[in-house]
Amino acid sequence: MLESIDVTKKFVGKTAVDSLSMQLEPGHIYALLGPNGSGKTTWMKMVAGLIKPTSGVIKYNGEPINISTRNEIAYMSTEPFFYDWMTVADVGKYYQDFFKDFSMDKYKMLVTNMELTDKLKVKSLSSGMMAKLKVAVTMARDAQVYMLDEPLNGIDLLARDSVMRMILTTAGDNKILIVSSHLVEELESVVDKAIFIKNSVFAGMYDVEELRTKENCSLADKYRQVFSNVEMGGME
Amino acid sequence: MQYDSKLPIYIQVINSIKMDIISGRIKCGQKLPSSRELAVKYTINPNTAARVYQELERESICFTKRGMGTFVTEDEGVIRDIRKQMADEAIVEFLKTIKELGITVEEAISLIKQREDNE
Amino acid sequence: MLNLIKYEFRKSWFVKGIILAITAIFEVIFLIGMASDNEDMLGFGVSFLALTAVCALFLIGVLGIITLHKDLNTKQSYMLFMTPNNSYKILGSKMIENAISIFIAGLFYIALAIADITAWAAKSDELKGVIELINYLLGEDYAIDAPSFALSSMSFIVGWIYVITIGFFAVVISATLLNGRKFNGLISFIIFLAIVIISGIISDNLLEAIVGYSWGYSTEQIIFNFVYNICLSVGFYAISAWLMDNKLSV
Repeated sequence: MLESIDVTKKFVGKTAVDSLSMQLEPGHIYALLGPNGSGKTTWMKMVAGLIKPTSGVIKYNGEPINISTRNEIAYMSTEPFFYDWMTVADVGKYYQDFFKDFSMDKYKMLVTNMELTDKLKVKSLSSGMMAKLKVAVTMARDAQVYMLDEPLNGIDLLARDSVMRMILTTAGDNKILIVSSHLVEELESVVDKAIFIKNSVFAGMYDVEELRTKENCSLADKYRQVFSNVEMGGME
Repeated sequence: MQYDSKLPIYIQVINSIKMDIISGRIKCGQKLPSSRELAVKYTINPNTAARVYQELERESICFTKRGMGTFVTEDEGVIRDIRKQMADEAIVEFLKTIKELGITVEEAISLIKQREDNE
Repeated sequence: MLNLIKYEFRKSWFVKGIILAITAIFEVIFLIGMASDNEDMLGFGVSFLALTAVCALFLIGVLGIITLHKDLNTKQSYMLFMTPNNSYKILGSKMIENAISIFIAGLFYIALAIADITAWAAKSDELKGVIELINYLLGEDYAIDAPSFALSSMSFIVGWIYVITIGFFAVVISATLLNGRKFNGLISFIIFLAIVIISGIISDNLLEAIVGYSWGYSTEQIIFNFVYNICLSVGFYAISAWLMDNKLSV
């Protein structure tokens, strides 16, 4: 279980995350939604241990985030981060060297799936290929918590389908998957819970199917409701 | 599969499967994909996929054999019932629409006959 | 830990490759000069080889600090900080890799120098004479007392470790307070200088307090510096690792 307890992160001149409290349970795929700069990435990086909270604490299975929780938490950032002298094969080797739950077989399969080859240099990858590589190496781990920050960005349609398939086959009763994306409509059928972050503050967690059964509202509609003041017209 | 934005997704998947069964694309007694395979096939959340099967089982459209998987019922009576039920639902929708358009049932019937003659 | 060290080596490959290439160019010039008895080329080759050696050893000596700076201030940081390694290990691996690199580089340049001088001496009779004279002179003192040689080497090593830990600390504290901002590098350098200078002043004052003087080159001095450097090194190392684990956000 992942628990965010009154977590705040302040940078010089800006509060990125403001007293965010919520609980995430295994067996679900969560969508983390909100406009750019609303605090989603900062929160995820705090779970990954890359950023330290200004106040509050994030607990994983009762333990505050620390060096050993990194063994079970996999984070994929929006930005490229591999060493630029690496090849696709090197990236896999690095993960294998440091993560006990990394499967080289699965990595090779995903890399082929994404039409990448071992000898390709990270330096020469297009942004689309880099995006695919990041997803592949992250999902080749058998982690308990996966956090994918904008995994569908800059990827062509077929590869996006591939990424969704990867997410669905990896999901499990004992795993928490968190996906942040601007492509709300594409995510809607895949996630079962959605968390809204508005202006650094927690703005609600909803069950996607319940939104439809009880409020006759799609996730995209709810997003519009939460984030804009515009009334949506159209078909009822 | 593209999902309409109002109906719960699990209902849309159920309808799709029911159509497949009625039309014969899925045969009586045929083994259905596992919950996870269903999730990938329809690009839906695994919990939603599980719910689809729960509902289908509740309606006796399929059943689970422990350790072997989920199978479509062999009972043709059940299939006939679904066909009738789905036809009913289509008619209800149709009647709702023509009412909104201000067309009476008689006008609608003659419009239908006209179209049938033209085909 | 071995894996961390492995990747530290790979990170610095490019710089070392360039140094090797530059060395090779000057070596070739030297060899051509020697083969064709061209004194200009010979002189040019020798001077620049010497210059390269000094610069190379200096650069390799601080490469660990430069790499750390890159590792903390660019997105590359994710590579290190997503892995389940604590910062004591991370800094430790950088130090070990740096030490091994300096050692190998040192050996390399000494071996190169010996090879070049020997080849040159074989060719040039005058030089042969000079070298034999030097060997004769040194010969008497070759057995410079092992203890004091050992002590000087240890002092040198400890001194280097001391400089590196201050460098690490400067980079870490600067990244913790100013992550990613412009002039981060410049500021770490300034902090580094400030600490070295202030530490030097404290060291001198302490030494005066204990032995009554702070100039010269006595055994007490060497031992004092040795202990002082080790204590500060350990302190800065521990604080840097603690900051990285608990206060640094990337």
